Amino acid sequence: MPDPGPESYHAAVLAEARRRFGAARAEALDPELTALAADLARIAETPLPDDGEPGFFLLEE
Amino acid sequence: MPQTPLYALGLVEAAERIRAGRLTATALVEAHLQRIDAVEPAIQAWVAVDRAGALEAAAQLDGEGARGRWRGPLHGVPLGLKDIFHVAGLKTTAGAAGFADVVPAADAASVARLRAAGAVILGKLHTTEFAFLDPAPTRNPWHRDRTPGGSSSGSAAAVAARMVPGALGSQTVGSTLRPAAFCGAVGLKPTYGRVSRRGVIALAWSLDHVGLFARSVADVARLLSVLAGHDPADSGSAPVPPPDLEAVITAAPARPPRFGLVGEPFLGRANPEMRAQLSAAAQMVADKGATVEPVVLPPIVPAVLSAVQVVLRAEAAAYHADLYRAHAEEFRPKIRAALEAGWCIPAPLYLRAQRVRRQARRELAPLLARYDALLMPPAAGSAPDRGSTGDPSFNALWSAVGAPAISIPASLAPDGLPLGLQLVGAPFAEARLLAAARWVEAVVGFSAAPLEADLRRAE
Repeated sequence: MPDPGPESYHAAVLAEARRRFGAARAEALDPELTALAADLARIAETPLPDDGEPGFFLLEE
Repeated sequence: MPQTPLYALGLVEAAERIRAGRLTATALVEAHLQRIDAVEPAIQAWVAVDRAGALEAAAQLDGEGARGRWRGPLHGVPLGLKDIFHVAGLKTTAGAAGFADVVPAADAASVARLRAAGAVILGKLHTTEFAFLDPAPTRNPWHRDRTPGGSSSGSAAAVAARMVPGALGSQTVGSTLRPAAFCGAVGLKPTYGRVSRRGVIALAWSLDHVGLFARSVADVARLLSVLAGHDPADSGSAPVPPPDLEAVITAAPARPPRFGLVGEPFLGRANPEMRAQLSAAAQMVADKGATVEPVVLPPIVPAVLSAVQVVLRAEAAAYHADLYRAHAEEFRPKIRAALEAGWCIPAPLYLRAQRVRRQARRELAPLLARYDALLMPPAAGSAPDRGSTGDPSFNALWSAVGAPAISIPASLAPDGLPLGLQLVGAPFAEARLLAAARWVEAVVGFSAAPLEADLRRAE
């Protein structure tokens, strides 16, 4: 995982987009990837308890 | 006093008239078909109207009623379905006709429940492509240059324009409450897991909810009373008993509710008209005896809003993987970009986003339990222009944590379009939430409707 921070996440997702879709399409996706990188950074820096498991289906009452 | 046209009856009232022998299902369906003929050219809410199927079902129900057989509380009531719900023998397009449409062999679980309760399926309503953000052709009944919201665009507009008394939609982020608010309808997103999604095209499995539209709180409560229930065939269906909603359907509660008034981070995103309306509504309910206390949301909330975006993109990319490989160029721009971004999300961060959601649910539980409902805006203001479907972030938190939420129309903005109020309850406490919403509905007394001259003026 890259170091926390929007810039490093942006570099990571942009590199993955280039690999998958080519440079031109990755360039076109940049606004979407910039927003995504900011979201990823915010999630990464949010403190969570060690016992916090993922909740795929939140069904408990 | 002028008589209410049949097409303008609420669904509880219509069902009661049919049950009492004062109205036939056939007459009710015919009135709605005539209404669709009159206003659909201006609104464009429907993908397909199943005239023959609806009239045949109505005649069948009238025959059963004449023999004393009543299927249930929706006997003879016409309803519309967002075009992501499967109906046996009717094409499902998901807003992507031409490269993704299918003709299913079986009804969605929710559609089967509606039919078992006596509903007549009138047809399929426009959705944005795959229930994401690329706008549908539907116009806002209050102003045709404004968006009806999305993704349940046709559902909200058809109900608001009195083309149908109730409809199903869906909500992954804000696709029920936002269009309901923009169109002046009532929109309910029940608790995650309350209503089966089996037979509904997915956008993001862990966020997708069935949404309900009508023109009153009692009417959406009636729909929920029919739709709620565990479905073992839906992994996201909760094994909990359905709520008892009969008291809500019958009358507004006498006891003034207890409300928490939500401030940031949402109030700062709302426009001045919406902020003024929320403040006025809070004062109005307090004047009628309700307790209204300001509440502070936990600091995890901004991370939850980010988690929604990450989870949606990752799950949508996985769901549409095969279709994307075959038809990438045919997807509309916003959904295509979201799918492609979804493929770039590291798996550990998708999982961390899911951990954020569960932690937020834990942190919000005491706050939601303390009040009958939280009060906040359902959208930034009235409907924006048709270039977008509006900002869903006012609804995203409650979709992320699976809490039930409802939007009711409360007033008209200076531009003449409706402004809604959002009420949020604790998970699986829909009876409490809807009772509070019905109480507020009676206090604010919203009764405006789109102008008939505008609805009948096709371009």
